[in-house]
Amino acid sequence: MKSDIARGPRPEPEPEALRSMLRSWRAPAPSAGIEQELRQAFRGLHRQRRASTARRAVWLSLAAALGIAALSRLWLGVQPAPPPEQEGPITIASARPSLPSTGASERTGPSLAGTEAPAPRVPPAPSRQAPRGPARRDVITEPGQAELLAELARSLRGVRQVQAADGVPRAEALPPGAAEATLQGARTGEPPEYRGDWVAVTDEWPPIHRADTEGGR
Amino acid sequence: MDGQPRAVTDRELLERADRGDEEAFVLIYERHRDRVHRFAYRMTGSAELARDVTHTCFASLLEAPRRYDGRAGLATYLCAAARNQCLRHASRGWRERALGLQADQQAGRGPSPLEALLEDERARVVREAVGALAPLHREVLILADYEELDLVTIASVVDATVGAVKVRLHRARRKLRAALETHVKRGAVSVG
Repeated sequence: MKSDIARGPRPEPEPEALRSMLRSWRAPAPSAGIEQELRQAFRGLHRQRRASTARRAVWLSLAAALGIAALSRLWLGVQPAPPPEQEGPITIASARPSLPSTGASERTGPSLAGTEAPAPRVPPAPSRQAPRGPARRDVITEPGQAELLAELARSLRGVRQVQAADGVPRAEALPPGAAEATLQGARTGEPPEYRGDWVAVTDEWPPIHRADTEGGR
Repeated sequence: MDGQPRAVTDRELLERADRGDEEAFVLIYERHRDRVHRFAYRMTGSAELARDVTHTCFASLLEAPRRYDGRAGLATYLCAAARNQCLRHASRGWRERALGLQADQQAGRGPSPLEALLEDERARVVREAVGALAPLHREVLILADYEELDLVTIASVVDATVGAVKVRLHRARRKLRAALETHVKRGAVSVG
């Protein structure tokens, strides 16, 4: 029996008598079963490796496909958004708004759901146009909120503010055919420059926004 | 001109085996199984444990061939692995089970029953004397006197310095001599 690495000093050999005694204890040969078991282990291991290599390839392909899909989505998300739509006439989902009745002073407050109203006595409600300045979206947070605002608007039509004796302003229904009222104390002369462009807006409600160029009342 | 084919090294065989060459791995096993098995048998005193240790050493080489970095010879690496396995078994108390219970299975018996009987008795005495040594002494004795490895290789296997190996070997031989001389004096065996 030789060593696999022949280098370095060898230990001092035992006396022959003792050595022969040591040799009397012989080791049995390894059983053949060990080789068979190792062969089976070898085949099983390499079979597993091949299977795991195939699985890894499938997972990599799937991961690559998902990555490409994610990148595509990200790219589409980065694209500039289309310009916002211009605000058109506001449509109310519920009953079509109707004109208020003449008994506006008897009203205690706006009513909610679509209220049937008699024939109008005031000019028809003008269509609400987009406000000047940058276009912006109306934010309606409740389904009935638009109706509520419409009702409120209808209830304030044909109403003017008058100063009572006690100094508390009161609302008074306009008589039929009455001219539009202006706020007391509002300028009746030449409209200020910043409101100059509003002169061109006629028959626009509410009337307080209309410049009075004929003098105060 | 030398027509002898170049012997394939252990490292080349291991690389082939890692790529799926079964016969390369079997060749590695055939080259080193005897030494590993002998060492494991003499360390544990049990053929069954030696079989387990041998199987474990080669199976671990199969599963993780890259653990062998090639700095030492493959035989050294396998002997070191076998040593670790034997010490692991030793911590579980194999020695009392194996040496006390199992009858020594000798290969190559003598021609006559009497000689065979004497040989068995001698082997039993030696087995018990070697088994009585501490594991650290036993392993260096086996590697030096049975496997005939040099001190540097033994130091690599047992993970010690050459000086420590010398000291352990000296103590092991001294104890062994004392144990065997006792048997010789009792007339149980005849030396020579």
